[in-house]
Amino acid sequence: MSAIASVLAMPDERLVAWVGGRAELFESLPAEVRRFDPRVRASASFFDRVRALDHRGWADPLGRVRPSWVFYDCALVPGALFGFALSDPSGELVPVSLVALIPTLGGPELVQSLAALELPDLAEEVLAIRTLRAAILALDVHELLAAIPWRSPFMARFLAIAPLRVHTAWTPAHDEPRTVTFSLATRTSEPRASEGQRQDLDDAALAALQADIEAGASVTIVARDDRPNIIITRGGQ
Amino acid sequence: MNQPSFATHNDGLFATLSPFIVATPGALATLDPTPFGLASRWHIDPLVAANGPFFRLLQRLDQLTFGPEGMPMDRWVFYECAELPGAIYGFALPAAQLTPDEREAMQVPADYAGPVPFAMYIAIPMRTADASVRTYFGHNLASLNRVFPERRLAHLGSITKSLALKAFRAQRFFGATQWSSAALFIHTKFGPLELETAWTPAHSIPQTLTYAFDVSDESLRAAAGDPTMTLLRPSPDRFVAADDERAMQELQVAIERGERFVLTGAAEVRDGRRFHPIAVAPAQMRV
Repeated sequence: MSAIASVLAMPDERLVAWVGGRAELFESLPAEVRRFDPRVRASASFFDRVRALDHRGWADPLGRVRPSWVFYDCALVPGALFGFALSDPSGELVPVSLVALIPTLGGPELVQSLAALELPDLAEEVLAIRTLRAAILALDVHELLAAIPWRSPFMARFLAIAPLRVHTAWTPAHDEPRTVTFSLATRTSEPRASEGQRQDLDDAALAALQADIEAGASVTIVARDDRPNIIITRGGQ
Repeated sequence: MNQPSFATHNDGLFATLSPFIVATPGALATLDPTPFGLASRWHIDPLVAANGPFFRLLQRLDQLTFGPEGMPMDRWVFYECAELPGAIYGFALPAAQLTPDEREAMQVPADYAGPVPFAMYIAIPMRTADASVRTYFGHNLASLNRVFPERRLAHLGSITKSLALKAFRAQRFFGATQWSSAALFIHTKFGPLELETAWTPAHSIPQTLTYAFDVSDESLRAAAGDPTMTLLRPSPDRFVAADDERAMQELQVAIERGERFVLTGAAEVRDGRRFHPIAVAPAQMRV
């Protein structure tokens, strides 16, 4: 079994992998991966279901209203989508997980969405992480970039891949200034720090951390629990 | 005076407005800070907290340009669909040089002394099969030309897009807009537009066309008004009215069959309706 095939093989064999984006991007993927091109009319109903999944599983929990034109202009055409889907009784594919990535000028792939549904025998978080791991391999991604609120439980999905290097801790350019912008290497073999310090999440503490980052400090998120306690390590300043 | 190396439609702009670039440090390193010799005055880093007020002004620029009927962008959309992945190039004026009416319209905070944006162009890089070609998708062109007519900012939109694509070092460009958009004529200034879609149900507005063109200095200079540049345009062999959904769908069916078309230029207006000129794509065009 190839590396990609082993990742695409899900515990539930009813799940099938799908990709969304301009068709020419996916010529190297295995034939069993279903392809949906936003430039083709026949893909529109599938993307309607993808948008609904994004809304339910990512945008809405983050408090974001994503205008539907944004999905076309800022994900479907410039980027690539990957996920898993189930067939409904009529044979239509229904997406149950989604990763939307777009390239950045700085290098990493920006995560526009990482959504998953709770399935009867597959927890939402497990499916989300499996989907992210598969997307990294299928779309050949070496570094990810994302921006989410500090308190979002979605942070754990990324920490399952690697520690998170913090670029902003207090982000006034965003509607929610308590947003953390971070990147992560997807294929690192470096050992993860096992200890660090708990980061306070009040506004003053986040603004102070931002000031430290702007002064040159290196900040990495290494752990998070459900309370949430977020553990960081700090480097040179 | 700081101005481009060629004559534009409105060189007077450069006596008033100065360029800015919004980009992360990593993105900035990939850009040309002096497109066509025009030096950028401000670099705005979205990762720096003190720049927060500028991003509120960008949002206001977007609101004033498109109004309540437009497709306004929340700041998180700016952040995640422009500032983090791509770049914003535009023109601004120091806050102290705005009139009281302009300050009020732009909602400039009383204690703000930085640049106030009058125009911006947003583009983000695209995933492509050929990574050696710098390819962008543009999704926002905003200008206060019509909001502040006394400033005489004619052609600010097309000049901003032209210099932005040069600053971004774009080689291939994609965009999406509506057949009914009053701004479509700006995009046709860059030459014939290859049609990727003519009817787009994957977009929230199916009456959207997706277009592309190869970027060259000639196309950018022509769009900005350089009188020495003339772009070749094929003669139209049909027209699509801006309100003719059946014609859009028929064109889309042909595109999906593998036929290739270009939008050759600006629409013709007849009896109050806009008719867009279409031609079969010349053989040398890559679509």
